[in-house]
Amino acid sequence: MSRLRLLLLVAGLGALVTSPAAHAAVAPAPELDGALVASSSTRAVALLESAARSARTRTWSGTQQVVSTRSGEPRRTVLEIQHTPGSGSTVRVLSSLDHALAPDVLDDKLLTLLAGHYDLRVVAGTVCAGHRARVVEARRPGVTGPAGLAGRFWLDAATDLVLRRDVFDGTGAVVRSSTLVNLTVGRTAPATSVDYTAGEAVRPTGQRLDEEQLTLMEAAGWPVVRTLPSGLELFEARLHDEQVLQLSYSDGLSTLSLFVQKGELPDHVPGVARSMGGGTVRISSGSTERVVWSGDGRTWTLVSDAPESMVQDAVLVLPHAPAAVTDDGVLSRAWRGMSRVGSWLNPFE
Amino acid sequence: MSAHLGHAATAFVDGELDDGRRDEVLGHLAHCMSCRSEVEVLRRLKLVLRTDAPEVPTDLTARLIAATVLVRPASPGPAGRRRPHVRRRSTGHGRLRRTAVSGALVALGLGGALSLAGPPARGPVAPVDPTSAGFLLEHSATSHEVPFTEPDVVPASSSRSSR
Repeated sequence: MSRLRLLLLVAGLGALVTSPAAHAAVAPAPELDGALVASSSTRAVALLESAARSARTRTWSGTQQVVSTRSGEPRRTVLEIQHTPGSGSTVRVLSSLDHALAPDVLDDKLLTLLAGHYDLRVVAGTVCAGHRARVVEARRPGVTGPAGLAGRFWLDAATDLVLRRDVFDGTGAVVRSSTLVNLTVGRTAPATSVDYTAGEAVRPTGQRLDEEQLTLMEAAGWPVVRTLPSGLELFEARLHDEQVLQLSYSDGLSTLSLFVQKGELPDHVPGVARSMGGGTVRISSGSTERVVWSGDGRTWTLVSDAPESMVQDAVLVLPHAPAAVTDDGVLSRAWRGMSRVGSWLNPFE
Repeated sequence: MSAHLGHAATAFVDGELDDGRRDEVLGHLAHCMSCRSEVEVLRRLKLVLRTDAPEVPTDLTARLIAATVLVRPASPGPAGRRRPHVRRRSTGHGRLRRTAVSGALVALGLGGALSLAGPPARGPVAPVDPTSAGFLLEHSATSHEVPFTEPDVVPASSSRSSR
């Protein structure tokens, strides 16, 4: 099966089983044990690094439940995941025979961004999905109270695997929660023996651009935005078929991908039209939000799992003004009109 | 919900449940291995029973056009059946009338052409469908999120993706 067909299949199947309903509320977080554990940021980072390592080197499988809340509407997706060291994870959307391959989670780059943007602490122990777990919190620096909580990780005390991850918006509401409702752990491969480039796991395509190439792209007129509001930093850039520039941003908890291409939006674009930034954008909200619009002679597609307020702030700072259009003269217009009449008379056109 | 899905499993596989009921079923399936197995068996059964639609030949249109061209008369008919062309002598009034009519037609044609052309030409359209499912997967692969869903509004034609 070609990559394109696989991609479309996975996306289509995902749309089929993502269930928007009031019943899909986020499961209450397990109560924390006793007093908070005093812990340094170093200890929390070490635990998360261990979680990333464990997720890669162990053989494990489980059923994961993801609840994502957008526009106040929770949506639930259930996945079956089987991880083999070196090959990434095989993900099967429940109710389908087909499967896709996903990359390893908790990437080192994102972990670095997480530690750079948030205060990390091991706060307590608890039981999550039947496993003893340690809880790591990511808090917004300088913000106290519930609004300061940005993310929580429940790490299996025995294996350090991430049992649950919650992401909170600025009001303290959970916007995304993923939980392994059951987990089976198999053998562990030595970290040095795992070839992360082997296997068929879904990996980014296109040409990865280094800093020098990005500067050249900028000089050629491509918009290379280095940072977006809410602490989103550019951590990767790719060029697809010399037509689409993909810019990826993250703060370590949420990610946002921006796809930029020359040309205007097609006439019919699905999504809800909304005025934003002086123009009209089309928004499609699911577990992931997609916003498309035209601005400055280019088409922008933003895909993100970040809280809605972060997505909106990012959209607002990007170009929305239409490209300057000049009239091409009476003769040119007359010629186009006559060509159109000619095309109507030509049965083969 | 009862201990197991029962008939709801079939309705789930056939996509006949409303959102609320489907969510209840998904919640149950997340925890019940027995029902998950049943759903998987039903899905396999449905796949086996499903028959592919017959393919339409891709050159059908071309063949129909070719057939139409073949039956169209190649010439207007025997020369002997044509009416003899008689050139009439034009008068001053006739010339004036024809000139006026021709002028009106040219003006009408030019005006119509301008009207049809409309405003200045629109810029080129983005080469890659901005709602391409491929973008979602690229996002997932780069962000290391599990690629599990597409926004609810499905592209009008997913085949428009260029990749």
